[in-house]
Amino acid sequence: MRTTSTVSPLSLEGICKSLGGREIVKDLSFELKPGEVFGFLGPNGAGKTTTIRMIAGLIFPTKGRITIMGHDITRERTQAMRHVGAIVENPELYKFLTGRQNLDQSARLIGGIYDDPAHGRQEQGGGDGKVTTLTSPRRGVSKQRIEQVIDIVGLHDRIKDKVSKYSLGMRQRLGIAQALLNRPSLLILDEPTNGLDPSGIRELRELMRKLAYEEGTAVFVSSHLLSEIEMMCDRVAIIDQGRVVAIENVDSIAEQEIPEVLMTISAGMLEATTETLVGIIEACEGVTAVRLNHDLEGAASLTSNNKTPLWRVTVSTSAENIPALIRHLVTEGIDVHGVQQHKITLEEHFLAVTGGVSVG
Amino acid sequence: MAEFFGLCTNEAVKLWCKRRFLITIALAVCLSVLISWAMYHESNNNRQMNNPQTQIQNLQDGVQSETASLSNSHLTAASKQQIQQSIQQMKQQIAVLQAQVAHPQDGMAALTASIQNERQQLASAVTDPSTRSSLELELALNEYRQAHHLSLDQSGTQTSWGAIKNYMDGALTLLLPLLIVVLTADIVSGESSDGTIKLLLVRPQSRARILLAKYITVLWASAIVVLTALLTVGIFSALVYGFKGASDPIAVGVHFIQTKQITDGIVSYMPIPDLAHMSILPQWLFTLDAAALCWVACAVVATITFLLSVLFRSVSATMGVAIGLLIAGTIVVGISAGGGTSKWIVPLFFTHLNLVESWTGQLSRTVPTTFGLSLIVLGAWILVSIGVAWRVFTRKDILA
Repeated sequence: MRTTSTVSPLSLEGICKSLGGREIVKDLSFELKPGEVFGFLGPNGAGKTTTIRMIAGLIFPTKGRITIMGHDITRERTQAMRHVGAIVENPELYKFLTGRQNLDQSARLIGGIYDDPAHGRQEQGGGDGKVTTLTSPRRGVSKQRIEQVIDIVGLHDRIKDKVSKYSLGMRQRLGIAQALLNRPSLLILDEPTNGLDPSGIRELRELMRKLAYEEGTAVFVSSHLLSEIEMMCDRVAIIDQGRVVAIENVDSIAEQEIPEVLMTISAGMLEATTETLVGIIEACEGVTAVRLNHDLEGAASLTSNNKTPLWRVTVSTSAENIPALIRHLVTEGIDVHGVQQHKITLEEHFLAVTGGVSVG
Repeated sequence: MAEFFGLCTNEAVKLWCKRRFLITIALAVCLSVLISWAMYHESNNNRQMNNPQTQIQNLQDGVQSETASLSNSHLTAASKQQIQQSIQQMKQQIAVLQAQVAHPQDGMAALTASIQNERQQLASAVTDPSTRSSLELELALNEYRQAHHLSLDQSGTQTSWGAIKNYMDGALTLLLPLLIVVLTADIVSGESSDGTIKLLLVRPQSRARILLAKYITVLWASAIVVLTALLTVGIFSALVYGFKGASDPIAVGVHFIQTKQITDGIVSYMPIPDLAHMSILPQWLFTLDAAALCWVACAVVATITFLLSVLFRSVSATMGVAIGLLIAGTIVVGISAGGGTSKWIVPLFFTHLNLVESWTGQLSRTVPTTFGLSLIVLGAWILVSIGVAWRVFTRKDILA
């Protein structure tokens, strides 16, 4: 694994952007660490794309400062962009060119194409812990590197075809290939799984992990799929109405527990009404609240299991109290059919911090 | 520098693979052949009309029909006499033409005769300044012919060089500019509408460099289109007219001055040629220089279209506005030209697009301008367009 340098691959300080008199991004600040996969999550119109465009230098912030590897993107644009590989929205490629011609275009924009027979050796010699060993000593892209990125995204068979004949997934792969050409320190991916099939998504996820952990690339990825962010990212910034509402470690969100237990119970031998059941549970020590789960019509959720009606109840209590709760119910003559500890998902967290606006 | 060459290579690859360049070239060839064919057809008609044999035939037909009309008994004696007079005149003309056919005049002798005649007229009391200037111009051309041992061709047949010049005069204000618009319109707006502009701008190249690479590409591609069109006409003309006339003289730098004249109480303006800055070139050299001027005029159109391409996000908007400007320009110049008093059209670029006529001076017959002024106006348009395009492109937010 590459030793992480101290320079942040991407930092935003107090970024504001107004377009047509409307403030789209308000005082955005965050910083990426080298080698981390950073998710960027927010509902439509939250300012995700605007932020990504500002980072990529396509639009200019009204206020604030963006630096990439320590280079201010407005004042040292060229130096900053040398470290960036990006897909902004859909990978728009030249449809009238072949896959390889598209890569050649990108390579010339990076600084030119040259031949480097020592390419493979250089690749293996990258273990001495310096960032520079992985950055080619000269500007531009070697022919061997172009072949390598074609290999990475698995487009060898179709690279001579025109992009107009590619499927959306293949275009996405080619987009990723051109973003990887310059071995970026910061990889910006805007909705990268669009159009990829499940195996493609898994490959992409593995590739991102590999780049982050083995090459120390910081990956900045936006997605509207929460589950995806949950699987791919180390940290996530949640943005709503142009503001960052939370930046959290994805693992720590997943580990958060809500002190709630979802129980499926039946009255068993007892002739009990709903009220008496709730009363029995509430009587247990450590239970702070009991809630009957309702179905869509608002009736108590009852399912028939061999003539026995089943109740679903949400019991507010701490995790340590679960065994005591079960013992209490059993001694009271209530049958416990299922106990499920309620863990918070990123989605619930997301809905909580954005105030319930749905994600799209 | 090598990096910048790479950017130009990128643009060349895109231009080629998009087929737009090939289509423009093909269009240039086809339309040029069409125009050359039309010109050839027209010159054939003219030659037939001016042929002595045809003229003799026509006159003989006239004599016959007039003689037939004499037999009409309702004619008065006076009208009979009139008809007989006209028959007499036609017979005299037939005699002159027959003498010409029998003893064709030698070109060199004709030249000497012509020079003598012009000198005599100038020495005599020809006071009308317009006639004098025309005579002086004719004399200068004839003296050039004499000095370079060229004969005076009186047959009025078209030469390849003349055909190319005619083509330039006709195509330079509309056809070639339209081809340039087709070629240039999508150079920036195409990337905006396809979203590929993002690919260009997230790379370690300044926006100014990207723009410059595109501009250079537009300039050389325009040069190829102009050259192709002119070569097509040249090859076609060489095939049908041959190569003669390469050393024939042509005058450039004639400046027409609009002079107020009052005849019978009606005020009119009369363009009078001023030969002070005139020079005489052989046709082949004139054609080469004129081809370069065609490219300059097309570069102006390319630059303005380039600016529009930066300003608009869609190719069709760019093309629509550019073509609209050219056609409106042609109409405005058509309405305002003449009389030479419409000074307000001088700062407009389309007034000066016919740089070849501006060079020869023919343009100053209708527009109060000189070749130098045309170059200044067009140069200013180029500089302003580049400046605005650069300023807009380096600062605009890419929202496509």
